[in-house]
Amino acid sequence: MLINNLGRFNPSEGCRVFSETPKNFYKLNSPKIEYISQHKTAVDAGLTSPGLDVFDIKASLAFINDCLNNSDVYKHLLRATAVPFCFTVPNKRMDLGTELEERWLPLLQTEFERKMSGANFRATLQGNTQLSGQINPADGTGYAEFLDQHSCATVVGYYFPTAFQEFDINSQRKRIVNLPTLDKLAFCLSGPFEIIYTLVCYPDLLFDKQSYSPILCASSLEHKDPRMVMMFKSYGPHLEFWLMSQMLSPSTTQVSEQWSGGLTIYTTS
Amino acid sequence: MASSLEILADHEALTLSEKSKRRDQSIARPRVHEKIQNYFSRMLDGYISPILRLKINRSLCNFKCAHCCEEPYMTRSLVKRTGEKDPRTQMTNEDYRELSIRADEEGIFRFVLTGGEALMDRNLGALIAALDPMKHLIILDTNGWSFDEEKAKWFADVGGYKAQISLDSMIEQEHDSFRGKKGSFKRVIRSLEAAKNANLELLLSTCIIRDRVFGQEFKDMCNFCKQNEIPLYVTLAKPVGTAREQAEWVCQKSDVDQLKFLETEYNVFTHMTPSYGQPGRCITVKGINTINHDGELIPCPYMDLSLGNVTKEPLSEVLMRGMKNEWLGPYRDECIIGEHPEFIQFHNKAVEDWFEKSPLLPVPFEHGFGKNKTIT
Repeated sequence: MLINNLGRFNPSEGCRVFSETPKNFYKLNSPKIEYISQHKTAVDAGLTSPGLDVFDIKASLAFINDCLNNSDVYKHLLRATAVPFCFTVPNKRMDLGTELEERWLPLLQTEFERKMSGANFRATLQGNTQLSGQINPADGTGYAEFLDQHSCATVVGYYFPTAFQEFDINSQRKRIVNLPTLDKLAFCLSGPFEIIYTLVCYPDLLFDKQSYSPILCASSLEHKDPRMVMMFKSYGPHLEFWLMSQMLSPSTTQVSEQWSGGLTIYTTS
Repeated sequence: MASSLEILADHEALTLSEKSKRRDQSIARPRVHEKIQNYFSRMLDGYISPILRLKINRSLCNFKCAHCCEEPYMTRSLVKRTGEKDPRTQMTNEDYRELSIRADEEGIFRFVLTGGEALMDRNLGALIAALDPMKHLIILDTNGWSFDEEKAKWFADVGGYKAQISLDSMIEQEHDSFRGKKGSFKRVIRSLEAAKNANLELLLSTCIIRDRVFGQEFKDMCNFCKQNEIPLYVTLAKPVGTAREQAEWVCQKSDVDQLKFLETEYNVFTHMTPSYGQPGRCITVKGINTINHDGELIPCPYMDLSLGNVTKEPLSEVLMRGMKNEWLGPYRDECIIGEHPEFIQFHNKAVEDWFEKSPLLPVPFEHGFGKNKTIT
């Protein structure tokens, strides 16, 4: 079975995961998905073109949904949180780190703090690291294709935030490589743009009053310093972006029950 | 549209007062300053520099607090249960001197002296000298009872760096009742002034039980600390020690979230508040470890399970063993001994099982953490 009962991928051979039997201590504050109002939020935030017909978008989303539901391999994905998206992908000629620093992270701060009264957004880079000029798609994750095919254009799809929960970063990147294909759909490991879009639309996704939430890894992008990984996490009611070291010790990388790589599925036509 | 976001590199993430303190250390304790700088450059490789919290003098204490996690280690408790004091070899000043050297080699720069009440140890001055206050920041946990002007000046003179003074309520009668010692509230207030007058770094430490953070009394404490420019360090009551039977005291996520919310307005923090360029997370092994009187290293002040004995094997090996433990090393946000039911159950079961064999805590490695998975 490719996907378990929690809607997460089972590890393939050679993957390093936190526990043999997947755990469910960390939970998203599962949003009630309401695409029409979500779309309005995204348009107001400048993430989605106002000229798009929302019914066309909903039709594309329904198509993806049907494909997954009709697939014996992938239908269990829908047991987990799935966030539909439609946004304009950054220009592929732009430096990704600069895009994040100058547009996407400030946008998330503005939108998050506007909607979550009293809470704040904070971005921290560990060490003497930077984002500008340092970030590129990781090989084999499909993110280069995702960005190339939709540069400056609209992409419609779903983000599955917990698809690779408990996988270490390398295993997230390894697991995505050999997934079975589905006609007219493309897959990639998730990156910061889908995550930011999701958090703009559902700012309390990572703030559940009873449970701690997973940490969302943007592992489809890699930093020139291979120790570093981008991630989004809650801190109580607050939201944080970190460029964080994945080293557990000088000889071992982290493998955490809480860290979660995401799966992005989008239409190719 | 987007505003201008200040993205913080680790050094910029420090507060102005933290930066100022760090500059001061470059003059007062150059070796400490060097180790802090080294930690920042090595942290990305996974190096750690935890606080070592030393339980000294058989945890002797002049108080009997309602929420004490140390009571099972105290001689008064052991004598009551077994008729004799802890028969194990206790750490000597030579052991502490050796520990200081090994800790220095590991880049560790903070020792907390605690008990019980550390000030009841007549050997305290010699112990501080053995730990070498030029190479390590020496921090004192105290209930404030005997920490007057004279004692505070003495502590500063022997190389002490900071006093952490406990106060459990801004309501005098409530604090005295919780601490089981009439007059203790007044002495805490006196000791705060004494620490300031001795130019010691200072924080007020308070233990919260469920829902306290939502009340006026806690707000009063936050305001008191704000007005007096005293950082407020909050610990969460855990289901261990004398509180093992007090499940209703154990904090919930809503308490912790409220604290995180208050951090924006007040200088209030917990062991899980982001610091030293690290996010807020459980700090077992990587952030703090307790060393029992007999040298057993425990990865959290509120746990009773050991990772090994620092008088019998290298400190570095014991710490590495902890980092590779599935519960202790890997990243997790929550306080596992306060908030994770599966861990609390594992921990308390290991303690219960051990008590059938021995009355002496902590539980040795092979009977507790040794049963967990090792991260490879």
